[in-house]
Amino acid sequence: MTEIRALRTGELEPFVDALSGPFGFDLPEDEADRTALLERIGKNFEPERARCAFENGRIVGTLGVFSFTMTVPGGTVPVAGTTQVTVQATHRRRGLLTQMMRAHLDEARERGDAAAALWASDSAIYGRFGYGMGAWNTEIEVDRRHVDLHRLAAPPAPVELKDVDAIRDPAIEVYDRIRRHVPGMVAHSDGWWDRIFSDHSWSRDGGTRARYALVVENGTPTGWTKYRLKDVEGDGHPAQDVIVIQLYAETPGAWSGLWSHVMAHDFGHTIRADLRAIDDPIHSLLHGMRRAKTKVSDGLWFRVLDVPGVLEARTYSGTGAVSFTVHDPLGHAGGSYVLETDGTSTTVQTGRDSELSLDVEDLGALSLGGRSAVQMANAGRISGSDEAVVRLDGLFRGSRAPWSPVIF
Amino acid sequence: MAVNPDPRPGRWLLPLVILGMVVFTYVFVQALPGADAEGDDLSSGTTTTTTTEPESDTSTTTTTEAVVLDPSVQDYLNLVDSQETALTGYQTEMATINGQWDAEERTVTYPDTEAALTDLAGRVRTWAQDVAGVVAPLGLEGVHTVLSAAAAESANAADAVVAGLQSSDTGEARRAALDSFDEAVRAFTAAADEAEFQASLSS
Repeated sequence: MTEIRALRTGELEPFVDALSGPFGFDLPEDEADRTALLERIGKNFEPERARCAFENGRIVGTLGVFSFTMTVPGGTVPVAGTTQVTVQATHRRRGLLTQMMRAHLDEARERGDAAAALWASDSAIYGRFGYGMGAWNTEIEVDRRHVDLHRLAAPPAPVELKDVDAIRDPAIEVYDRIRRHVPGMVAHSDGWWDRIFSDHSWSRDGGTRARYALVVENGTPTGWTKYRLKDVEGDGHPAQDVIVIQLYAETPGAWSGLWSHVMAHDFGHTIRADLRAIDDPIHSLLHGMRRAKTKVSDGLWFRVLDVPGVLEARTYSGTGAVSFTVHDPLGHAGGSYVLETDGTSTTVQTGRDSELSLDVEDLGALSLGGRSAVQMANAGRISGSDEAVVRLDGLFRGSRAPWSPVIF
Repeated sequence: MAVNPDPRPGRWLLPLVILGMVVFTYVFVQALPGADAEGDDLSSGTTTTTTTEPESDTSTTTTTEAVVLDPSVQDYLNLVDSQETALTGYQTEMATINGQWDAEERTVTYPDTEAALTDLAGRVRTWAQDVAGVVAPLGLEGVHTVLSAAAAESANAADAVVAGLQSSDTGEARRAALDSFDEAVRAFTAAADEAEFQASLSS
């Protein structure tokens, strides 16, 4: 018989072993390396929240959870970070994924999480479980030959190189201020910060060890970056890509200073930055915005479990009311609702007659404030009058693009 | 020495204290949360990600649910899985044959390529007819219609690849048909995912 349950004592290693098949990696054969890997994974692991499929005591499906506080426009909500979802190839087409997702979402709802969120290995999987694409991810590539700043860009603030121990506290301080204003960002535990500042040799992909740079303005840290350099083939001259791993800034000078810094390496050939927000200021900092080539894809997926819990926690762009019916095959968010807001204070009550109808997937996508209800309606995914769709769009849109700078 | 004229009340003092302790202990133990509630407390809190002892005993928070699909539904899903496996096999074969034909240094002949593609298209057509002939369990008829349509599209696209090879153009029609074939395979897989989802929802 197959059962879905949390992990018990001593099941971390079988869990990681079960992950290794579908994710395509091997547990290290060396005992010390193996222990180190398990310790690293175990540091942020919540075994009591995992929901795995077992057959005769063997793990045949995995689903892990991270407990987060995530920012929505104007507020925060408790969120279950869905992760490490796999089904062994030998156990396909048995409904295991649905069973694990159901158990996971039920547990999250009972625990008081208003929503769940994830990064998807495949963008076609999680919509049917109610996750909507809430935050775009962008990969940015800048040719080192075209890095002059726009005439109106802020003068770069001075940048100091730091070692990892020296940058940790100011970096966390900067991040923690920024994340409170950016939908999709989460509060990190110490264990997560250990992971963010880790720099294992096997993770460098041929690059140097990580470099860190900090901006301090008027005695206050206002931005930092983690990056590394990687040799590439040049035209007879030394050439390196600058791989930007993390970059956060609070002020125009810090943005300008940090981007200028990573673009200023003499051997720099191309500056590559993944996990950037779609509204990253690089496009406005450069003299020619087309010089920052951008590839956009899905980033953070957001699943509403508690409609009032999410929608009353956030603020809106303007005042007004809108009513809508949510379809949720898994039951958590289904129903008809009336949302009334004065911009900062909002009530969401169950109602009967709705102006609009949408799937819980699209409610999730809209909840972080970065997606267009008009676009969804044009695709036939939201039904109702044009006027009501535009009103919904106007209320839900936020001023900051949702951003998820750390994959979980 | 003064003598208590009536010592009897004092004799009851110690038994009453002991009785009080027994009652207090009973009430206290009853008031303690059970094992499940204790586990919930351990996992509560909205910002805690730090289960720093992954090996700690978490059995108190374990929930168990049996996963049971109706046998006829499971049989159907197994059949869909085997059909999907067959289709992805055809897709690999299709890519290999066309890759050899498109190679800069071609090592295959036109007659061999035409025969291989015709044979493959015939097998895809038979496979698509098998898919269409499956009787889906109650509640999954709708999604099986989508599966059958994707299967038919795969067969049509495979035929179009043969026609593209035979056409007088410079490969445009064949390459377009290959794209259609890959798209039909994706549609079949998506419909199979949906069939599994619907089946497990109703279980």
